[in-house]
Amino acid sequence: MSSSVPAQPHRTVHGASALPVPTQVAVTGVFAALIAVAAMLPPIPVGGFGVPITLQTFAVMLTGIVLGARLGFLAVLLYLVAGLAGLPVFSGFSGGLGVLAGPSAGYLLAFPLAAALAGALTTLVLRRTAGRGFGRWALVFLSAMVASFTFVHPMGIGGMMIALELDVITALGADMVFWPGDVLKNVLATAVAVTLFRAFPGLAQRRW
Amino acid sequence: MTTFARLFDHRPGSSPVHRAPLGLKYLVVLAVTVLVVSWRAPLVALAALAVVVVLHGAAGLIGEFLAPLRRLWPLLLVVGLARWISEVWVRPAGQAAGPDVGAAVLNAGVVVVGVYAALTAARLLLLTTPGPDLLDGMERFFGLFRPLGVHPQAAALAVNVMVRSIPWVGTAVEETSEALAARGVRRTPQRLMLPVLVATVGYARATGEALAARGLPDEPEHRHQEDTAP
Amino acid sequence: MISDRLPAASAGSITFRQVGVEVPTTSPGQEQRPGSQPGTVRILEGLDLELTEARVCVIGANGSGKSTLIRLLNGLVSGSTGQVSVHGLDPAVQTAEVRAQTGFVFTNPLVQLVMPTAGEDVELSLRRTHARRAQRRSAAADLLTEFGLGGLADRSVYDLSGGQRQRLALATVLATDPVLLVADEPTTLLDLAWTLDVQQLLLSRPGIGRCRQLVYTTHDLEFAALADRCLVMDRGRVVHDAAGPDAVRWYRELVHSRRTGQD
Repeated sequence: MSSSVPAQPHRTVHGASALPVPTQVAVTGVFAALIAVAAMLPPIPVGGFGVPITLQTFAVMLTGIVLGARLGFLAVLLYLVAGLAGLPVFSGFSGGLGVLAGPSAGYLLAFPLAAALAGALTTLVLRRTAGRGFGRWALVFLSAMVASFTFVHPMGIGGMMIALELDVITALGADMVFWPGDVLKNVLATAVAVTLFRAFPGLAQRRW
Repeated sequence: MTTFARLFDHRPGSSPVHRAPLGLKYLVVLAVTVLVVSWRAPLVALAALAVVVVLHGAAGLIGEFLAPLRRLWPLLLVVGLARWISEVWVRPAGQAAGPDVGAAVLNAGVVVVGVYAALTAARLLLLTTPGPDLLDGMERFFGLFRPLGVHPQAAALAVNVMVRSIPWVGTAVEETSEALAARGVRRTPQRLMLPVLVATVGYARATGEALAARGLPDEPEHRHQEDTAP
Repeated sequence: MISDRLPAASAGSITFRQVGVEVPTTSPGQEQRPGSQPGTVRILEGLDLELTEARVCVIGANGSGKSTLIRLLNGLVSGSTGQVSVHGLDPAVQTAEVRAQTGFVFTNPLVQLVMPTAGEDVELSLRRTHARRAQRRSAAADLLTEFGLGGLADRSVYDLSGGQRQRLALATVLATDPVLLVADEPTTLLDLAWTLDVQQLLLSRPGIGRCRQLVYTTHDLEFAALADRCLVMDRGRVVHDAAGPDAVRWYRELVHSRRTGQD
């Protein structure tokens, strides 16, 4: 690829158009792969908190922020369906319907919804606040946090209560262990998204 | 890359378990999973585990039954502990008699055994099914949603692009990690992820272009009937 | 010379009428050329060509517009102005038809190959012509053997050598028996032996099956000299248009004179 031509069918000069269908298919597949790799990578120990975090929720939120509600939802759903079908793409190289009996079932099922909400809120932010610097990205970070606490944590707690027959207090306690890491991951996802939007301005011009 | 390239861990064989229809295998895994979640009894958990052990034996893969323990024991330990804590400290708050430690351990054991039975049942399906069959199965699954506006060929194509891209992304992570190490830079998540992600988005767009150049996915009016032959 | 032994195929016809391509840019001003809209970069302008030769090559510096030009041929890029006609079809309008009869070879085969294994990727190309899966599978195996890749059907594309990958990419493209074959720097990533191998495969193709015409870009001037016709691009324009060896000589002089001008 020698030339500086963007490797993508060109948008018309006037206004943004939706991505062409083949690009939608490719982006969905590649981001699902990205989430899979993030789940497979060895957990990264985070200094002061002592909680090892995997990059999986980071990748899920990033997918929502970068791709928007529709494609973000589809990419995470694809990852989830592939994992439930048996591909060992969940953390620890596990996969299959069996994980629905495990402690992470609620979290996994929440991921597509969280990506969709983070994507929808981000689209709203990008449309309403053209070029307003730092505050804009703070709002994108908030979008990810809202999505985390609307879907990921409640469904994660619910999943543990059902699958492990826990009471709500123990489940909440187990879930709170992830909160500090979650904030860090959403900061990281926002920071990375800022750079991606700069590298690929087309991603920031979108419908939903 | 080697870690990510071997996504399918298929162990070829000709046992009844290998030859069973994929749909039936999914039904068995689903049944085991639903059973251990919905019916908490020591006998049920042990029965589910026994069925899974027998199936491993029938597949000639009995040695594989305990293999996941090496990876899963911390998870199972946490699961058991959480269950036990829930039983001993929180539940008895309203009870007069105080915690029954024996019963708490038993209940934690039921949950742990159930989770392990479900996970190994799912793994047996992966071990006894060739990768392409798994992908074909997903394609048929997406076909069920055609009335809802799902384009099965596009969905199946996305699945293949995903499987195909996992080694690519994995390699990108490893290369970036090596590049950082070579320059003596500490590998923080941000330093690692940023170059990988910029490359990944570029790769996704190039893949989109390659699909378009091959006329994929078929336009709906050009779509021919999917063959249903296995 | 390979081209001396090749049959002269009766080629199709590609025409460009006043074609220009502009793309939006985030940093206006920097690459702005006279006459283009603010906020856009003009990548191609004033293209007026009729290509009837069997083997057409496009050469020029990085960023000169080569890739954009050949992407106009199957609608991966569409012009902001003017009209393109490929064997009687307009790629911007009849995109599906044009793509069904155009094969496109990319520089990096890892981008081009979208399926997990070699065999599945060839099968994907055969979908249009072979409805039954069993038929597709055996046709794919035959095709791999024909391309010297027999026995590699179940191999992951990652376990192939760079040369095997590009040969596989060619096999998947030629599986559809395209009327027009387009290649974007197909030999850039290959060693000398594989380069000659892929060159031979591409240059010999017009006249075989439905294939009428080959259009390719390259930085390999020996490869460029084998073309029946060669276009030299510079900053979005065709600045020289001649038979392969003539165009290559002209391009060498251009580059050398610019370098001595700088020193």
